[in-house]
Amino acid sequence: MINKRVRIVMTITVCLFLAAAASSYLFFQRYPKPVSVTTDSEIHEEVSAEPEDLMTVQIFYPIYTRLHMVEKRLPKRKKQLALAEAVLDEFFKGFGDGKISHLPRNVAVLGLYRDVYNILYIDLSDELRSNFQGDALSEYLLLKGIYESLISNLQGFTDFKILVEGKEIETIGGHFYLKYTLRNLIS
Amino acid sequence: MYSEMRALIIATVIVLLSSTVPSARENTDVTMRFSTDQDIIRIVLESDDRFISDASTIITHSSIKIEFPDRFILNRPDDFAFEIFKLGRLLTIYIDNVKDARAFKLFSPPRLVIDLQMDEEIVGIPLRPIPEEQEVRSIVINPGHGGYDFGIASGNVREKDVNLTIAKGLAAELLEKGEKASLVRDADQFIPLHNRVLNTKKESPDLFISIHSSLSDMFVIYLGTSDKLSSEIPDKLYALRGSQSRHIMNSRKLAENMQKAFKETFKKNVVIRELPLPVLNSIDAPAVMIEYPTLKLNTYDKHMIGEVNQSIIWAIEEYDQ
Repeated sequence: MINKRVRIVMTITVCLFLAAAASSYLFFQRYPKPVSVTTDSEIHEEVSAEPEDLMTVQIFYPIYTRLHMVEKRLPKRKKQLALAEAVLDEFFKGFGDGKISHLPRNVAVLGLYRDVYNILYIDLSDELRSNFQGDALSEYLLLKGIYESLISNLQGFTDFKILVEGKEIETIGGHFYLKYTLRNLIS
Repeated sequence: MYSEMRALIIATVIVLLSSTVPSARENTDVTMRFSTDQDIIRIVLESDDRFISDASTIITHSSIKIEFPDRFILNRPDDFAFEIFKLGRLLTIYIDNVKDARAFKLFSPPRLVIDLQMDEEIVGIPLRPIPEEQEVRSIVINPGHGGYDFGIASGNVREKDVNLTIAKGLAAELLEKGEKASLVRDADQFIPLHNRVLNTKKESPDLFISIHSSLSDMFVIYLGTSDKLSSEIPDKLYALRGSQSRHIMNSRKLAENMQKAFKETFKKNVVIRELPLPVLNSIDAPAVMIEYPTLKLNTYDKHMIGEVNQSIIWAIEEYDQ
């Protein structure tokens, strides 16, 4: 009799466990993981974890009337968003003394977000717009340089979209639209 | 054994019921409809009262995000014009070529209405016929930048002011010669790129000339890109649209005339470049953008501006030959 009761209890326990597992599975199927957002603190934390390893990145600087590729050695990043931030930081540091390149000064990366379509949203500070002093070609090369530098070093992104202070703006310098993703402009 | 089985079945049914009841309770139907009237596309989302009144809507340049108070089941038409994405309580509608968008809520029945005013080209307004040679032409001049957008600045000299001075002088001289000239802006005001294109289209010009400054000490004349016209909507944003692609040869002819005129007048280097500039690519007329040499090395006084305008007028006259 005792054995029979134990068997019943065990059977019910197993059933409960299976049902719980099934309902959990259904629950997570209905509620997919939210869009991944990596904050600055997560990015910096990872960089400082392995400072001794270096990697080579390719940065495409606008020089006169074309893009000039420069290879740079940077601390290795594991996460793609951390790598994207490092690439953008290097890009906006500029090339040479700034006389031959018309990149806007003091541009800061405020945030990086990947959406469900693997488009990377790049939130930059207002200096991108306020410190831009260029003609049509400079604006084109600025956007193309950002695109080429990111696409050459990152994996898993389909496109890139620039925001300024968290908002979509129409244009940086009055020549090209910024309200669409960069691939449409470059390709 | 029978009682064991019975207990097992009852327990399983209870557990399964308890896990499925909340899900069934949370789902609410949202029915989407849409209709088109001239250049307006109306999207209507119908649901129950609470769902509509608690829904929040964010409209940006490229998307409309609607957050409902709970998860929902979307019933959408198969031929809906835009790409949509549903994630949890969030519905995203990706929009392209939309000039203006507004959302409002109505009741009886409860519904969220979104009106999209489309760019004319996307809703199929036919291109105008290419005009035969005519005595009086309509020329639209676009002085770049304006308002808080200074363009390039050199000391107290700002590109937006020089652009406007050149454009006004050019329009006055063209009017004197019997042409019909108009300006996209005739004061120090900011006009978005998209509105510049729309305002120009309203004028149905025979020629379009945009005025900007270069960073270099040479004249640069831009044409739209001569890529093949893309059939994909996203690529249309920058690729040559049907409206400009059929004028590209004439745009080049006008640019080459200007190149010759500037070279002869100023003895400076003049280059012609192709770039996917949206203001050029969207214009249904021969269109060029002129960048005059940098403000940092040149003084744009009355004499200099007069010579720039005379060169442009000479190029337009040569274009007719």
